[in-house]
Amino acid sequence: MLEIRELTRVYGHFTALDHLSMSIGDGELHGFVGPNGAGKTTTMRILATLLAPTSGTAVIDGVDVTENPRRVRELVGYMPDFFGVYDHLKSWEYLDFYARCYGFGQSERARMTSQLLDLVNLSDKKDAYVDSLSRGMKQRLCLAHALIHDPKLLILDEPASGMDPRARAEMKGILKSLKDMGKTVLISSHILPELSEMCDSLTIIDHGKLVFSGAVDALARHMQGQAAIHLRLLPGEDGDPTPAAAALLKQYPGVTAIERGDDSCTLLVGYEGDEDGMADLLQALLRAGVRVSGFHRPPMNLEKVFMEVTRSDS
Amino acid sequence: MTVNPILAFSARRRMRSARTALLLTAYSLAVLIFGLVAAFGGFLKSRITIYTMADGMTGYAAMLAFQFFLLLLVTPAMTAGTISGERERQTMDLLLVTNTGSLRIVLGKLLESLGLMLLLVFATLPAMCLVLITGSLTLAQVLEGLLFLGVVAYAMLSVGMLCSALLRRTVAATVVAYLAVFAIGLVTLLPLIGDLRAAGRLYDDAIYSSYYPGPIAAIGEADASGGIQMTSFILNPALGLISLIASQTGLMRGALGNYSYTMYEMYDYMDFAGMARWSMGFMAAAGTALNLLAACFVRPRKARARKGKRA
Repeated sequence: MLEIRELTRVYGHFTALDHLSMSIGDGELHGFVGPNGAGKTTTMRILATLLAPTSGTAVIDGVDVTENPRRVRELVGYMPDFFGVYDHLKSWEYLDFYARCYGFGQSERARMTSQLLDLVNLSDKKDAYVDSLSRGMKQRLCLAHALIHDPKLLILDEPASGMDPRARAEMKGILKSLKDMGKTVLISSHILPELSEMCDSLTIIDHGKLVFSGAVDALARHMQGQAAIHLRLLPGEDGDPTPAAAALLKQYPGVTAIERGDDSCTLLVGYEGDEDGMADLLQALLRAGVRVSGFHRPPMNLEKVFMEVTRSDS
Repeated sequence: MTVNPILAFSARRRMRSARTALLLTAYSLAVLIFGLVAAFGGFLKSRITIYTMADGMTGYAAMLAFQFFLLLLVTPAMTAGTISGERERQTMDLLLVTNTGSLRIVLGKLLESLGLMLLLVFATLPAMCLVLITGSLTLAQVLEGLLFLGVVAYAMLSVGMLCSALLRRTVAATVVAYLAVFAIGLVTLLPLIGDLRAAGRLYDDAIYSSYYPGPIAAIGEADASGGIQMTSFILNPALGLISLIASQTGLMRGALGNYSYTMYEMYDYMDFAGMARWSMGFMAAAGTALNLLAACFVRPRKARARKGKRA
């Protein structure tokens, strides 16, 4: 559905996007993750044809965003991170206005306005003035705006920012519905645990550069391999058990780092091997007489992954 | 034919606002009161008991001139915030992704403002028609006067529209729009001032010349050979208004004579009706050009520049 190749955007001397490449398959819910200023919004604005790239290409459903922006706008629904609303306008009129802009007739507009308000759970606010709605409701209304022309690709820039937990849960439900409807969704957010639960794949960027792009499982596996093994030891006859264990581990192939943990009986062991290797390592420790009371590699969630992959530059 | 969505939407919002009703009432009342004071002021002083044709025409001309002045005050600000306001409210992106063309956006915003201005102007029709009581003007002439004001409003709104498209901030766009209107008013007066000086010199020469049978013929010659040109009158909206009032009422001879004796002498030789119509045509054409230019700045320029190129 989306293919980005070497996308670059330069503002004066500042490079907001630096040869970014990524792709999203049909029907995927794709998370777009990065710290503030990483280039997420720039990428999304280019995809929404609101900004031109300095170089590189972005192709949506076979259509180049710079070559044929009019066609791309028919394919894309865009919800910006910050948006305003008009005063003196009711919710249904807000959607009706944008539906008119897309050229829909009166009967079609009436039908789709009602359906979209239902989808975003705002049917009871149909006659409420837009400027009187809460932030969460406005965001849902804006999402409905992005869906008016039944786009194939939805680009949602921080759709849940500033929402309370209940509103976030509602937004999450709506996104799941959209996925069930077969929409391809590119969503950026700082609420990473929620993204990890919802997304099929994700892209992490930092300082305009690609850090990772692929399936969530692949990222978790990839990062899992780099997570430190938490090794908890029982004191031996000599008292402190860690020097002996550390001496053994230093010699062991695949061990990259050894650090003391929170207390004197815990070591954090950097190890490049897989689960079989971990089993061998444990056996070697036991054979050497090290008394191991705990040996595990804690699972990585997206929050940790994010912190890990963006740590080196921050 | 479908109605421009931005026009329909903006008009609905505008008419919902209580400010619009207040503006309409205040504008109509102000014009009526000004016209009545202008018409009856002379009557009260002179103690003549008959309401004359001249009083009716004075009242009409006063209302026309007062509305012209009000339009200059109100119109640039009406459109100066339309495009820049969308940017400030952060609603522009939502509009641009709907594939609505730049020209359509400009036209929608412009027609909505123009609609309100025409409503204001034509709401004064009953007051303007008071002149019909004295029988000095026809309804067609009154409507022509209001049409002139409508065209002035269109031109002024177009100046505001271009400023709004060019500048990101509404305050800056409003200030620049008023400055632009002021500058246009000044600059378009210059050709007439130059013409009057030249014609005045020819007129003085003619008085002492045995070639010409009289000064009026000299002016006729001067006009034909680079004296006062019609273009000098039609470029400036205020001169266009003077032409209109002169053609409809003949009241301007004294006012123009105070400014220039040359003008006083030439009054009968000038085609004021034609100049008023040309003035309207010029303002309509200039306004349209400004709106087309404004449409070029609605979408991000860099995005437009890259259109069609491949990186």
